[in-house]
Amino acid sequence: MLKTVDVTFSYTKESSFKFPNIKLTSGQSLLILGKSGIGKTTLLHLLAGILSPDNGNIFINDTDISNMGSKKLDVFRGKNIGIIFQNTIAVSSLTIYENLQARMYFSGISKQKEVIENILEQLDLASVKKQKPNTLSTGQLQRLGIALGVIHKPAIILADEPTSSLDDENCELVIELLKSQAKKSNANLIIITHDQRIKNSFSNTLAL
Amino acid sequence: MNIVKLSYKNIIAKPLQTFLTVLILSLSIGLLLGVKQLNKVFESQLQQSLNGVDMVVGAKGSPLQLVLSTVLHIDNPTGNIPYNKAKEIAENKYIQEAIPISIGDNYKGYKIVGTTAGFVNLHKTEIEAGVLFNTPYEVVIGNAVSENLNLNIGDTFSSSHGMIENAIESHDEYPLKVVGILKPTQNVVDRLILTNLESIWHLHEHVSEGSNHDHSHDDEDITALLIKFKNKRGLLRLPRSINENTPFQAALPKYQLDKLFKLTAIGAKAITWIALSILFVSGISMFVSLYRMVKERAKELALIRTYGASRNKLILLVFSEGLLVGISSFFLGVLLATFSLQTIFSLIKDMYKQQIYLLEYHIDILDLLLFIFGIIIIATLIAIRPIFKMDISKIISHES
Repeated sequence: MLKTVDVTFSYTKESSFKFPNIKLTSGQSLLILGKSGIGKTTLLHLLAGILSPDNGNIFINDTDISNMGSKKLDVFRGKNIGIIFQNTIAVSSLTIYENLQARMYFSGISKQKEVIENILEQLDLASVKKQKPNTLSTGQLQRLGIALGVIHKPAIILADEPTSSLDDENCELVIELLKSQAKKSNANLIIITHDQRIKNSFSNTLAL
Repeated sequence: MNIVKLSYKNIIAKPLQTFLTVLILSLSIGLLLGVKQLNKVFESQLQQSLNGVDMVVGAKGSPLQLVLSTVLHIDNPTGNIPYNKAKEIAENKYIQEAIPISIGDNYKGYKIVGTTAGFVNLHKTEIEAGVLFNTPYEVVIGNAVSENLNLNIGDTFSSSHGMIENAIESHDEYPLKVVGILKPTQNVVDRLILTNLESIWHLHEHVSEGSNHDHSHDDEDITALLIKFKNKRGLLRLPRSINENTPFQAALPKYQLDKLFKLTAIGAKAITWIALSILFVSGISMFVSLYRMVKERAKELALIRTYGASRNKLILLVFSEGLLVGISSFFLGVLLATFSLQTIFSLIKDMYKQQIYLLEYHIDILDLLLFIFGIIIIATLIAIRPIFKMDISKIISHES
């Protein structure tokens, strides 16, 4: 469940953003479309609790994160938010398996082994689990990014331009993966993109 | 997975840099620890061997040589003095005790000292087995002599003339007999062979004049008198009076050794400063590697923050990296120092027949551990500054 009310944010006095209200029931997806520079990533970071809004409120599962103390917000973010980056970021000194372990450790989840093995299997990464991220292909990295974003069963999955560097076939594959992973944990999937190809895959869209 | 494991993985992911930091850090730690310990052991060994000897009276020459030869038994004596003249000095009212010693012979490198029963008391030891020497050719041996040469009560041996082992000038026809063994003391008496003055005189009469047992010994020589004063006043008056009014020399062991320490301390100080400079450089190297990790991997650190890690956890991660490098260097350094010291000690044991033990070593180690801990904390505190200014949103939206 996600609800935003009159959220505004400004980096400087000259450039300020006012975002339309969003309301999602649990399990509902949303595609946010917009050209670059319009504040897509800013909105994503606001929803992720990485940035704090100047005004307005953001409710995730009825918890207002816009006025939360930073320590509480860290814990909340670790448990409830999953971010999938356009270019996957992973800890370079750890193997794929260890990256997933670290992700769960910081979210405070202790039962890990089965969950990790499962997701590695689902995303076809089991064969590379002992490798370091820099040895992976683009497609494998993309899937690792998805695994890191969903493994802790967050309430909200935020994906930032997940398809922009992919060809049509892989684009469709990634969207399907994201949708199915979101469905598994009954999470709200929010995709932010300027990629018009995936417009038809979502019933619920918002143009910035 | 946890913070320590993650920092460990980070460290071994950059083996060359880690190796370099650990190498110079452990070298400087080993050097500091080794020099400190050597200096301490050296000073204490010498101080201990003074055994409350306030003054030595012997033949004129270098006062340091007189002290080294008659108190520490590590040099040749300056010469001999007539015993009857020495006895006159011993009667001075400031003197509590004056013990005559006569040196100049050895057995397998262990020095033979002709003296009186007072010598045993002076060295705060006593007979462990057997009895004290009584008649000529009876000897009491130090504990290390007994152990190293496997000599026991009842055994006999022939002494050689001079301070070092030689087979040419040996007094073969007059063997010495072991009648007693001293308790171990950890100082010079452990490696001495004690006998009475007459033994030494007899041996040398045989060498120079042939047999003459009825000799009265009134014109015999001794090497020196070891003197203990009744009070401080003797220390002020006697040495000067002896040096000015008699053909002998009076030397103060404590003063001579202090002079010697001042010379050796310069060397120790120089090495200590070199070690401290290396330590300083390795502290910088540690800071640089931590700072680089914070800077170069800002993106990974920001990622970990999106995983729910607080700022404090990131700081802990950096500190943990510093700690792992610092502590492993520390153990390596202590290992290095301990190994080197033991090697040096066993060399000394072979050369000087003196067993040396580490002195308050754990205190030195603890001191240094606290010091290294301080360096790690300082290096971490400077290195984590970018974490406080970290803008997660900006870092992860670059390229993403």
